[in-house]
Amino acid sequence: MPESVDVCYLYDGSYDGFLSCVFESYRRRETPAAILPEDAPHPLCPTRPIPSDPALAARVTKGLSEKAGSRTEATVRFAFLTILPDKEMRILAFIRKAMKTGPRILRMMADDTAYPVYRAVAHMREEAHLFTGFLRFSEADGMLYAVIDPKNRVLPLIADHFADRFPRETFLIFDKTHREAMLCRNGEYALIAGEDFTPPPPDRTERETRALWTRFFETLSIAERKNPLCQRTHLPLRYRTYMTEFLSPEKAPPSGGPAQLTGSF
Amino acid sequence: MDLMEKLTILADSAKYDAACTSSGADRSGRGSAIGSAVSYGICHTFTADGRCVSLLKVLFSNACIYDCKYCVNRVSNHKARRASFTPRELADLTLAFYRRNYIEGLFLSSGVVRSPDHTSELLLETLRLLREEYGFGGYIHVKAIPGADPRLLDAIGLLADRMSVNVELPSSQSLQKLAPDKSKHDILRPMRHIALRRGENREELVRYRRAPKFVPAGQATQMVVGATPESDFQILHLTESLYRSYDLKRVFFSAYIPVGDDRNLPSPDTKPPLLREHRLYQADWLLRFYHFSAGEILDEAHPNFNPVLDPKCNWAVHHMERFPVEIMRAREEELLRVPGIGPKSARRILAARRAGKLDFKAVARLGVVMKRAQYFITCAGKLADGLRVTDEAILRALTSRDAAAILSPPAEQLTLIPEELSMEDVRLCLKA
Repeated sequence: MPESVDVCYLYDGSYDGFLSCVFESYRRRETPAAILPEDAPHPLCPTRPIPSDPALAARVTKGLSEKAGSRTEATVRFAFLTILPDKEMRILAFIRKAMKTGPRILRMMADDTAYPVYRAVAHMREEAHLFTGFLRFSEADGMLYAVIDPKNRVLPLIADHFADRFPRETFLIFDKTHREAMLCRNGEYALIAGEDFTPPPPDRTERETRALWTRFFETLSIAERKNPLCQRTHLPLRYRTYMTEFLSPEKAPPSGGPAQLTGSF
Repeated sequence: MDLMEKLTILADSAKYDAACTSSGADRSGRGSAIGSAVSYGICHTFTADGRCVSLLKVLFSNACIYDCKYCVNRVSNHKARRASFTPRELADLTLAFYRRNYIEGLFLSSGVVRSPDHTSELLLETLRLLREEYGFGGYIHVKAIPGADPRLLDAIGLLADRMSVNVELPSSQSLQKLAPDKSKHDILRPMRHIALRRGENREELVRYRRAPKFVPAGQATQMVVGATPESDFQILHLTESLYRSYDLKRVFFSAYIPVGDDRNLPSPDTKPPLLREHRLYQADWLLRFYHFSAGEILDEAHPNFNPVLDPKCNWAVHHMERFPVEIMRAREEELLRVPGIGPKSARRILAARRAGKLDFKAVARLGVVMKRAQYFITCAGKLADGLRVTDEAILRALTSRDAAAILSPPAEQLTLIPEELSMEDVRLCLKA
């Protein structure tokens, strides 16, 4: 890595914004002390706001793909969605290393720079995979709604799966952690930054279907084999917040009037 | 009878079926009205006993005319409440659950209503409604009813992803004793038929890309363990030959849970042999993913699993002459024999060592369980720093606390493995 300088880059929190910082770091041949979203608590060191520039971001993406392969580029894209601590600097270090090694970086799974990035991405993929199973839709007026609270921003990873699976449905998945929604109609979808989402109250059919499912779920367990530890290993408690079969009727998640997604869209 | 009651009865009767996997089929949802299948399978929830729920697992009907002693639905069980779905009811319920992402699809089995053919027709009608009328593209697993017309089997196989015929019990003598209405022949015939049809279908698919697929996710089976006197060796041997001769994808084991007190059955207060079932699954994995053969895991002289060590560790401590293996040079099959290394970490080692030298820290990062593996590997010719290779250290590393608890009451846990225990003692104990 080139010389470290005592400057923090500030960016708008978007992926393009982050890649613009990467470009800036290359252009100035310097390694900033930190790369932080504008709304993060400001550190003591001098800051430099870096405007988000899609053209520069595209150049970084193109350069990385050509030099280190499209799988490396995808790894960087996914790594940006993870909860890796200090992810911006770690990804910057990863990009610099990948530009030197080329596609060989993909085999360097135990490398000090690459390992934390791969681990964070693997953690996110695992979480995304679990949500393809644990996510629960409710129906109201012919539309489907779901709320999830993942640690990583898994919505871009699971969107294709659900769009493909329900090609004729209209549905919405709301990521409560990152306040982001996926809206899908007839297999076409968009990801939208939203403020909040309140699911509509369940109607009679919905309540009956939930009751049938809950009964099925409870019936299936064999008393002689009861093993809550094994259940928690496969289905940690944090995933159960919005899962129909774990909601007692009184503990149903808060719901208001008609479905509402408020926010900037 | 309302739907809630039916579902309760028919899910309750199906819950002892072990298989609930939704893997093996890959199908985009774009070609259907609703539903897709992914080859790795998806678990949608886990019950209080820790088992995955992937499919709506129900019997179509539990009004069975057979009298299998180990089964709650046997005709002589007058306490059982009986119920049957209609094909429409079940198809609608499947879709209602599927739309809400409760399930990957349907797992349909049934007691024998009137005759095997009649039952198969009801199952076929349910599948036809789902696939053809509702355009359902999700996963469907159907139990073949032994004794049904092969043409019905063929028709069902074209609509289902996976089919299975239960072996039920691990030997024909046991079958005769406990399932007087089913014979080995009845069970193996449909199994053979499905295997042959799948073979033909593979050829059709080579010739015509759009030929309809027959049971694309393959065939599975299941047997009850612990109701009859077969040894683990016999069961594992049967498992291996089923994989080889019938092209099966999976063999499932289900620990016998007492359901009646027929004099041919274990007494009703028998505990289900869960550890034995667990060991069988571990051995099953060794057969399918680790290039083991049944004869390597158990043999005539040691016909049962070691309760304390899993089958792979058990094999390793009996073959110490093969270890340690060198991480930078060992072939994949050799790596797979190391306790603590699985198919995934073995593949990662192969890839990572091409990019540079691997030390112990690196090997741990590749996902290898070092607690077990460290005694069996070297990095650049050296064992891990400061590792004391003693027999008791190895044994302690390979034994889980749960396994130790099985052998001794809690108060004695600490003295389970005495310090002076030698490898020779361990071997003797393992061979006992």
